[in-house]
Amino acid sequence: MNDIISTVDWSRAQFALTAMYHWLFVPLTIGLALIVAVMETIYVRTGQERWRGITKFWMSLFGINFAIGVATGLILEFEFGTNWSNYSWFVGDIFGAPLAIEGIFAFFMEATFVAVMFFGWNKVSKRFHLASTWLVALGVALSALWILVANAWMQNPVGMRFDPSQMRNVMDNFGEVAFNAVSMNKFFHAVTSGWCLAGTFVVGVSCWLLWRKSNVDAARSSLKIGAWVGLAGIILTMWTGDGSAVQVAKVQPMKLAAMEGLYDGKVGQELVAFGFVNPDKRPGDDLPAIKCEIALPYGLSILANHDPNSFVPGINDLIKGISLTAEGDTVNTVSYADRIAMGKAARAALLDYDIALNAGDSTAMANAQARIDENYRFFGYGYLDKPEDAVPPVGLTFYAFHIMVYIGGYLLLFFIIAILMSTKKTSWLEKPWLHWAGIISIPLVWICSQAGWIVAEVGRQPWVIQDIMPTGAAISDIPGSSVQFTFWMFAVLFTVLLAAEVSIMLRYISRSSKKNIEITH
Amino acid sequence: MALIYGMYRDGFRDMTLGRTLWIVIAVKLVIIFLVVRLLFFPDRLAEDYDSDGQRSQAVRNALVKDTDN
Repeated sequence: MNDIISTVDWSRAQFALTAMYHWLFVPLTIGLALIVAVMETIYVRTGQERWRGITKFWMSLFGINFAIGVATGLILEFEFGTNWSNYSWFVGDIFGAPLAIEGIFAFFMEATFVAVMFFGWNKVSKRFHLASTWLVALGVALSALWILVANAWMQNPVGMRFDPSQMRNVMDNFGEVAFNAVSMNKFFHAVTSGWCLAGTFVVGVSCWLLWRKSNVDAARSSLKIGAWVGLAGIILTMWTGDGSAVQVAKVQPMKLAAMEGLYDGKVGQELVAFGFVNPDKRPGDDLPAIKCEIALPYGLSILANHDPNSFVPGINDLIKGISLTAEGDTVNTVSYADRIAMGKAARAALLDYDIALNAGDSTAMANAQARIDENYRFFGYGYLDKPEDAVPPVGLTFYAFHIMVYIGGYLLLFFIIAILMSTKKTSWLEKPWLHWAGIISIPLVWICSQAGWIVAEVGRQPWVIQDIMPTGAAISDIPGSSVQFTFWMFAVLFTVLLAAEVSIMLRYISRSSKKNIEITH
Repeated sequence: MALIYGMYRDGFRDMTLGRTLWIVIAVKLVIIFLVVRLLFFPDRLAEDYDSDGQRSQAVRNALVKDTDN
């Protein structure tokens, strides 16, 4: 048993490590591709050669990031097959289809047009080159679409039916899997956050050039583009984040409760603007959940339901299966004790199905299938011992959510100031403290981006597939020690790759700063 | 075709920064596919069982293990 727990924990740690490293590169690729495309469009429209130099400078940084980051996501797929074989089989068709489409898009669009983008200067027409750059920008976003569709399905499993003979969830509605509200919000939230991240990167690097008083004109022009793309990115990220919150309230209310450290909800629920999670708090006790709390009245009701008088359930309410109307009338939902009973009934029916299948008894199989279907929506609860096992880590989810929101708010202000710097308040371009604010914002935006994924992935625990499969049931029967070994191997590999990326980028930026970016590239 | 060939030929020949990046990509792909994939990350169900029927049975066994009937 201990070895199973160890395998689950190490496999989770390994997957988190791999995904987080992968996500260091992805948003910069997505956002920088767009910024480079915008810059090249200005070059083609104005015919000014300086914009060609600026475009090529940022395109080279895009190339470094693309080269270091490419294929790091493949390791996640290896982990599915080795560490998460039950899960991998269980979701096969549904997960496989979006990933296969992603592979085709990635190969044909990105690989083809990236080559034209880098090798095609003076070889193809300006307009064809520009079209290739835009197609790369579109291609990287579309690649992200299919990965995020697969991820969204795990958070909101729709468009499928469970076939116990195959032991797979079989897709019966592709449109519902691919284009439901959760997946679309997730896609636009992730992609626009990439614009925001790349905008911060461009503004930050431009600020460094301004601080060094090197390539001042190129830095000013780049800063302006980075700031506008970043501002568009952060506004759209906030808008889609709001949409995501509404979806989370509908399909993952326990995650929303953990994001806010909310145990006992009410009509007109406030939002925690500041506070510390009480680490001793447990479901059902009387301890305060948040210490030193500063709250915004009605905030969470507005965020979750766009209605200040709506009820937002807390962890205790969800466990008890209680909701309230705006008038305060109690509405019973399915309690977690009932969900566990239904999950166990579904598991027992699956065992009966297995016995009937091996005996060739089709009548008993049909009977078992009916019982599985009846209880399947809570199948995963059958693996839990008690309702509290369905509560995600509240502290980590809460802090990650609030860090994301704080930095997001800062970035909105940051981009507004950056736009003012590059338009009406050009004297600010010479203020060293603003240069340093730009440089320091680079790591901050990555922290924000990673925090967003921590909210999404830690907040949905214990589920790998919401309500259907908990993490413990998804794991392969492999020794924890082998996962430990590969965890550390990846930690070293990814750290080396990250060091290589940072080192190559810094050397390139430093070397370029000693030349005229507008001419020499 | 000649244009495409020429673009790739000249592109690879004139690379400066790109040469370093291609080395990074090549080393990384060798590590990922020849070391990580082959030595440490077998597809367990594909390797341990011969047919989809056996794989289904293996997963069913795993998911009904310790089930009360």
